[in-house]
Amino acid sequence: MKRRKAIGRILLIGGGSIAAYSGYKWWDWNKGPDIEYLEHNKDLLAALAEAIIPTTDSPGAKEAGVGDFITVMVKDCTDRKSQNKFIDGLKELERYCSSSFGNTFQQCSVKEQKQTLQHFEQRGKSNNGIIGKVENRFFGKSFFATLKNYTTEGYCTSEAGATKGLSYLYIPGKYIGCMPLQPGQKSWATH
Amino acid sequence: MGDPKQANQNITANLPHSFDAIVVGSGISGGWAAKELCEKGLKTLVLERGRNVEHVKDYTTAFMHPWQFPHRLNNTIKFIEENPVQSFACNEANKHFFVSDKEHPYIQEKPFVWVRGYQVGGRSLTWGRQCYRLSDLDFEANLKEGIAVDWPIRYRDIAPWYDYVENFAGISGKAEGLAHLPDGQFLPPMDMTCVEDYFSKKIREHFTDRIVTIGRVANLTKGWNGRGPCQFRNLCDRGCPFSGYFSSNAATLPAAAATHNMTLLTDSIVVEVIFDEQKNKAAGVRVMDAHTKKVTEYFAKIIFLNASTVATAAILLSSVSKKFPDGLGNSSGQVGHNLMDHFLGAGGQGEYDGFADQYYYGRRPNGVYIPRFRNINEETKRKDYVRGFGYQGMGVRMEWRANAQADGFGENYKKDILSPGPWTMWMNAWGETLPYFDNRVTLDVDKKDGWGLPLIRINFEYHDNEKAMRKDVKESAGEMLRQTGFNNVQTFDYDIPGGAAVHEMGTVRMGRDPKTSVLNGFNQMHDVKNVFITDGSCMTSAGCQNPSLTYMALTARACDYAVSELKKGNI
Repeated sequence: MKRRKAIGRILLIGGGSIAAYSGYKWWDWNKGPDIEYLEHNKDLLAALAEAIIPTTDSPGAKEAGVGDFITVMVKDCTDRKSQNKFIDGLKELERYCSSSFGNTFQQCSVKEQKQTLQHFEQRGKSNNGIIGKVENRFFGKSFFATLKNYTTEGYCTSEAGATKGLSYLYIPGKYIGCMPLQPGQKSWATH
Repeated sequence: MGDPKQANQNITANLPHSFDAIVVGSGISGGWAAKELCEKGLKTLVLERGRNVEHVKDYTTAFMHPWQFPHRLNNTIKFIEENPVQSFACNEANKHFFVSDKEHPYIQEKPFVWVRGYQVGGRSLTWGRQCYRLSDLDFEANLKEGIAVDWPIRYRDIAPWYDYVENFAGISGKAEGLAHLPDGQFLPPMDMTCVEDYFSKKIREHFTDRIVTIGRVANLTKGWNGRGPCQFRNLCDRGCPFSGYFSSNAATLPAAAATHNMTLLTDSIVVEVIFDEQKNKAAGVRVMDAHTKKVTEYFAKIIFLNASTVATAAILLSSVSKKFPDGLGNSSGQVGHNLMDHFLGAGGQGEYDGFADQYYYGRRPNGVYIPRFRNINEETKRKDYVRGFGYQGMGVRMEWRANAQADGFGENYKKDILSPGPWTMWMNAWGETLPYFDNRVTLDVDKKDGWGLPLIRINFEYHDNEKAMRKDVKESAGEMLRQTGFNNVQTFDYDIPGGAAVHEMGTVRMGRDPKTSVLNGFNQMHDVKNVFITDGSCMTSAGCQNPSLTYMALTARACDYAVSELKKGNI
């Protein structure tokens, strides 16, 4: 039933007028992304990922190498508009931390980091339903949505995340369709 | 069983050019033709246009962990741009079993995704493995409804051959006693999850006309003919190092090779079938080396075309002679027409409150199946469409991909994504598409591919019958989920292009009358008696069942007939 994935991948093709936006905006969204900036800010990415998935009794996103994964994904698997939104968002986040707290994100307290992420989560909220999907298609995904998606995916598919955060079966050898949930049972890492 | 030995390209000069039989294509039906013909003692040349894929050895990603893939199975933007069609179906772990769209272009007159795997084993490496028999409900449908032409066979003709191929391949499933979805020779069925079992029981309570059964699938639930068992990794489409599912590479080609009657030539593109005007028979095939482009001719007494539905039609259309100016065996003018695919992309899903303390172990490469329940008899007759659909679905707990939709971050968010989420039941229909004359494959008169062969044009669209059925698919999915106690039920109907089910069929159809069909009841060309075609192109109608099992049975049956005719001196 692999086609389920294929179906999920099908983009909603909707009408949506870009004419109302200025030429500058169009250029701004479609410009060549500043990938170098990403490469130079892996520590920032790792810190952001760690704030989303922190170390608890299991490894956090930093140990799982999620910062590097985000860089790879933004570079290779992200459309131009979402790339720009992400990199611009990252720069804006740096400015926000600097003006609000006089610090880099990494140097901020846990409370300040939380406030920062809440600020960007709120701003990045897309409209629900079809309008939201059309927005994402034409204008790219929000900075925070991209950050959180890649952090989660990077963590759950990493060795640390899959084997210590989640529960990973390499070669199950058998299938049991229905069995009691074991105490402390984590979700399976792969399906 | 040994691995099929590939004839080295360097020694083709020394190869005999005459064989008893030639099989074009090594996918799911070509593999069967190779096995049957070789086991019956025929010296058989198997031609594959793609590279060799040696069983186990060439499954390069089969043992890799998710974190060993740089993009964790995602396709890159560059790959998607270069492969807009194949990227629809493949991922970072199995893309080496799909063609490059750039190297293998075709023309879509209307959107149609043509998913291909040019290699030894073809798409049998990456197929969905669902196996369902057709029944007389399917074989009689065209005749009863006056659509297209009548199938030249009935269920009794193919039933023993279903038994035969199932016994070799190994199909797990559960007997249900349905006349319109006949039971087969099954290995033990796989388990249902708690919520699937619940759904199945409730469906039987609420609906007298339908059931939910475990999928019938070509994965081995016990060791079988030296293969398997399935290890429940659900990584089948990377190739299985345990031979846990049926593929040409794991099963039929090794059996053919074991006879020492098979010569397998890879990187060999069949350009055309050579027609002998004097003998009124096919003499052989003209083959182009995919790398050197050198053309060689091979000759045989019988030829099986198993290049896949679209490619087989293209080979016939390219095989022009004085007697067949419109393509080999095309006196009916039907070659290339009546292209079908199952439609998919409509269905529903819902959540279930309950079984919070239940889970499952292992990764089942299979789902559940709701066999067709429309237009089975007078009581289930629809006014708005003919034929029907079957749902494939699964009931599992949501995992991190779905749980990540929740708001927030930090410790609570982490806990959410690491814990099993609510149970959901998801179902999507595979629906029957009627054979329409205008849905067709043709050759472009000007444009050529990298081998100088005419580009294939595909013109395909769904009609009102499919559209009306989709509506019912969506509504019925919602109704079934709601009536059986699911919450947050959502139904969907995505506009998915033809070809997406990867069930192309019908371009060289079987029929009783040479004036309106290309093949007879034994998959033998009406016009050219020593050519047999047993891939999806032979299908007279599509049914709604996943079709590969039927190709296998028709192939074994046609081989039996062909060899007996050969021995009698009739061909």
